[in-house]
Amino acid sequence: MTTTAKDLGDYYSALTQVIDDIVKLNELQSVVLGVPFIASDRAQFADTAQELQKRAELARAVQGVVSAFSQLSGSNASADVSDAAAKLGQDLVSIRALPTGSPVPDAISQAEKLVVQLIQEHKERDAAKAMDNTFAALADLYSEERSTYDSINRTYVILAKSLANALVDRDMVDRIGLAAPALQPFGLAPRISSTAPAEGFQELAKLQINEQAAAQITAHQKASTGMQQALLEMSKRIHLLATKKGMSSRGAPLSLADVEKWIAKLA
Amino acid sequence: MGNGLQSLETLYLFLTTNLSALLATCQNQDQRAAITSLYVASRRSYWNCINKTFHDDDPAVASLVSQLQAAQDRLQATTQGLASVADAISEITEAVKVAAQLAATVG
Repeated sequence: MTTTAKDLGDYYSALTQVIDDIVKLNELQSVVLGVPFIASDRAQFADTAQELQKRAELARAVQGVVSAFSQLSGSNASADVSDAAAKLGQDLVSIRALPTGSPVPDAISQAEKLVVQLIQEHKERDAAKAMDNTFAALADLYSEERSTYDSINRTYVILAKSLANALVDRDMVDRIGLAAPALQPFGLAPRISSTAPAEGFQELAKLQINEQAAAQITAHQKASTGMQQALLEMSKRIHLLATKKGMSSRGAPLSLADVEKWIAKLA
Repeated sequence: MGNGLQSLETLYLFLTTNLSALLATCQNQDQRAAITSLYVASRRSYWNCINKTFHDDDPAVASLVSQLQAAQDRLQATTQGLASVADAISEITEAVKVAAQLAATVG
């Protein structure tokens, strides 16, 4: 569960980075194609980035509580536990859903105070009961917004792709990289003069751009699906502990591999 | 993601993909300014909707989504041939106008 919460925070931070990159792409588009990009446009992106950042902070707070929760058995109550749970409460209350108007489920904020108390009293099952609705709501929030995250990433990749193609058309892309795969196995480096014919290389570059763009869109869709599955799994484990014998598994869900792969590519 | 946001994304990304080619066919600065202005309007509609909630069950939104899809079909047919920049600008104007109405309806 700690890994799921950590990856959720990293995922939102990476998506915030995507928004920053989209701003840079719009600036480039303004220079290359003359498309206006003014202060109010920047403000629009700043709003979205801020909301994603809030979710990253929320995930960090969840990570703190989950970590404390995992160490309940045999541990002593500590200020860290209390602080982590209190931070979660603050973040949950202050967060505003993306898009505007789909508020964070009430269950999240309602459960927070009870969770703090139960964690401090080392009552794992009771704490799980209190967290049950909270984590179900967290999984619901992600599920509701997931297609919006996919859309943001798709927009990012297609905008980058269109600009990459425009730069290739203007012969502003170095062709050395395209020759590297053939020469690297033999320890050789390419030497292509700026006067070398661009035509064939332009087609090759566009093919590479097309393939990479499709791969990046697919990679994010796999990541967002994996994140959703991991959150549902976390919610299910808490629910099992709250209602039945205990937690069936405490390891990291397998679906997080795609999430971590996508995050690593953006880093 | 609702159908409304999906429609706005489709229009915005269609224009993004074809922007360079559309600008290359422009014969004067007025045409270039018209294309970039319509493109910016489509981008703003899309990002406004990222920050709003769509009510897909709203009949007005459903009707606008239909209109936008029809406008996009005509736009695609027009830009494939790129026979006339004026025709392309006219179709883009229509699609962006419906997109703006759609963006204003949600939230």
